[in-house]
Amino acid sequence: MLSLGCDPGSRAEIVATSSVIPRAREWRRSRYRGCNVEDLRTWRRERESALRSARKLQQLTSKRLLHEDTLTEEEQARTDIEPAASFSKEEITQLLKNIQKGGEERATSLHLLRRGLRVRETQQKFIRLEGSMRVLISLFTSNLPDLQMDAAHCLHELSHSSDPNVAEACLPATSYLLTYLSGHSIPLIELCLYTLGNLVVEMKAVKKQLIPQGIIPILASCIRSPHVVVQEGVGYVLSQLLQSREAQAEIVPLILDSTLPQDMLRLVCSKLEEGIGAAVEFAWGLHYIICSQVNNSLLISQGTVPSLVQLLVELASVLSATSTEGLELLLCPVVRCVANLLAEDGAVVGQLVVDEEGLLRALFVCIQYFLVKHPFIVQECLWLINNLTADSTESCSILLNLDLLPTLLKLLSSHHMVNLLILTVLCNVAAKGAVYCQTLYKKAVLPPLVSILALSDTEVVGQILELLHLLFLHCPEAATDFADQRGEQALQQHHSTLQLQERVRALIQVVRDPGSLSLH
Amino acid sequence: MAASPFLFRPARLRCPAQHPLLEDGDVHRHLSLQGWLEEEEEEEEEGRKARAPLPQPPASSSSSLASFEHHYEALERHLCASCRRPFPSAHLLDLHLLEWHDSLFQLMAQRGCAYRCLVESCPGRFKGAQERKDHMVSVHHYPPDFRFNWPLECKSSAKGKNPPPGESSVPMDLIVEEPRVQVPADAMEVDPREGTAESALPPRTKSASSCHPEQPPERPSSRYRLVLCPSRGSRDLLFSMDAGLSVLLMAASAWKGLSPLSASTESLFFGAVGGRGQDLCCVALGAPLCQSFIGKGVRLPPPNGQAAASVSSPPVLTSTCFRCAQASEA
Repeated sequence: MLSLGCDPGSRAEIVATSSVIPRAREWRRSRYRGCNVEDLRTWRRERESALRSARKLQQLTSKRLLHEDTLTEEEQARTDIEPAASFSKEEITQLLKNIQKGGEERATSLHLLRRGLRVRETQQKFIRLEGSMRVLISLFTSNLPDLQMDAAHCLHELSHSSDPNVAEACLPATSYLLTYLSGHSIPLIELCLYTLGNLVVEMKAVKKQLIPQGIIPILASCIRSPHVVVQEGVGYVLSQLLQSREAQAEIVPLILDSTLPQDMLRLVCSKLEEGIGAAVEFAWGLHYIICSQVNNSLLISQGTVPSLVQLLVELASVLSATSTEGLELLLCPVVRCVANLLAEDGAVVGQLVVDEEGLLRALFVCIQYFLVKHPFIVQECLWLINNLTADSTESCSILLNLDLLPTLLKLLSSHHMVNLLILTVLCNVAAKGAVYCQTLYKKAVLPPLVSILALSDTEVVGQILELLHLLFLHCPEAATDFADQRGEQALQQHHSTLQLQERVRALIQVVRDPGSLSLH
Repeated sequence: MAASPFLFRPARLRCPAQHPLLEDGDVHRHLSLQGWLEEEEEEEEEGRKARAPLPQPPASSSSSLASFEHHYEALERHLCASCRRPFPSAHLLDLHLLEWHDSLFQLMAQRGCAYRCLVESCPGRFKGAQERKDHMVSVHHYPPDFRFNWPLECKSSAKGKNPPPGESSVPMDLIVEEPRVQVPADAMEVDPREGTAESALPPRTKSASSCHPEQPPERPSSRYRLVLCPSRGSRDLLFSMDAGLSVLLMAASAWKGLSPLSASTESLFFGAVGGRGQDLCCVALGAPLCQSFIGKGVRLPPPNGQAAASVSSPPVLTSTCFRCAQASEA
């Protein structure tokens, strides 16, 4: 956790002295340097659109490229601004010959090859040359450290390729990649991990080679490394493995059989002042495991919910005091994990969440903080709030007593999912009975409902109608007040919508005659 | 009475991986993975600094430290003290020490399945290296020429020029520069001094392998001189015999039951022989130490840290067969 003890004083001291939560590695794409802002925004929108399409097809995969630290400033700037040209087949052949010959030219040629392999066309030509991969793997497995690292970087570049044939050419190296994970060279281990993380996107390779080669036990051992960069690399491999469509059948059972889940949880909740990179990766990995529903009871029994809830509370407590760059990448999967585990059959909120008030406060802090920057956090927090309030009267009471209702009502806007979730939460509260309905009414829930009745979103309007029904059922004066606020006219707008007709008619009848609604 | 059209019931919501509610968050995660994650104000900031390179960590300190660390870990961490061969992991080093340098291992291997799988998490045990290799290929889908699987029994020819039959050949060998004299040439590598591909293993027969679990490195010349010298003070070389290393090792073991105590590419030292203060060692022909037997004083590698024995006057080389020497000593 951020503070080792629970003493608020010590936490404040830590917050005051560490204003930035670091990441072990910066993954920001370097190629944008030198480009104008509009181009960046266009490219990013294109990427978003492509990712959304891929997600719909259940083909959402990405790879990471470990940027080298060894380039000088000048080399880095030149690399980013000037796109590298593709090598010809003859040039690549010559480089390979130089590499095989040995001597001084070998290192230079390998370095040139490494730079050249950043270009897709060069990658494609390289893998097609007979013996090229064998030479590369020979260097990778040699006992010449500098050449070994350069060769490892070459393999890594190939693994990152979007051309599946290029990545597939790396598969003969998997036994060696895994072997080196048991070594002690941190730079090499890190590079092997990210190379493997890119290769495991192909589930065929995972099933055919990596699982028989013992990748899961090796990762279970690697995760215990004290080195943060290794931890983050292991997290990356796991998140890539677990994200696959076939993970539920092929990967999750193996992982649940190992010690990995407990180590993953430990690292999600570990000292964040050392960096959140590893925590982010393992949180996403846990999220995929929980989504698969292979054995969530096991995870619940291992104390996953209380640990993650405590983490959420601590993260929210430092949000405003620290630089939160990238923190949403940790909050998001953690919120999802808790929400999905609370939705498990047999899960009881009161047993799993000891401090419902602390959690609700934390969620509202996150909602307000990320409302503008990352609105997706808002809807996911609201989802968790729904899962808290659905069955728990205590959560509903807290929501009302802590005066969180105005914040909720202010969030009602034109965003479909947000509106739907807020209204569902309000319905959860109203469904708890008369006292709750009366409190909602007294806290002025009606006016914003009347305003958003004008929306044409059928699903949202339907949820408003459900809420109005509950309010009028337990609080007849609300119906009268609703009428005074021209609520009936607002209802009439939807009388011809098929999915809403019956409920609109029923409510109009109640509004006209509040006493007509029978109470159970 | 008509059923109520109001059907809402509070319910906890489960969102599987593909749920629409999770789409925005997933997209954000992948933008991050691909390095596209930017805040608007940071994009503007970067736009202002378009031509200025971003501050880099001091390349010299972090990269040189990482490089040093890698050098150390690659060459020193899992290094066999006997044959100076580096291994990528503790598990492979342990197996190597067991199979190559443990004199009891061959006995164990003869009695049962003593060879362990190279995959650490695999509990497999095998009677021989070939069986293990078959398992590695068929079950773990390892390449048949996996670099870190050096069998004790080498099926190569006497000169070790060709890989064992049935294995995929290496169409392109790499010339490896040895960082230290003691680092042996690897099975897939070419010694730049000799220019011919050779196995790191000396040619061994089955009987030789049963006597000699240790596998000292062999110089490309593959000719050694087995010498018996007085440990202290005496002038003469008692006998010498030139042959390939494996033959001499067999001879030393058969004659005196000795295995090498220490080894390098230059020499192997067997230790004291009998009660007469005599040392037995193998020296590579052409090595400086061997040269010293011919015209100069001889200095033997000290056993176990003891002071090196030396002979003040040039020894006389003999060509007495070790069997005759045994007879003459008796």
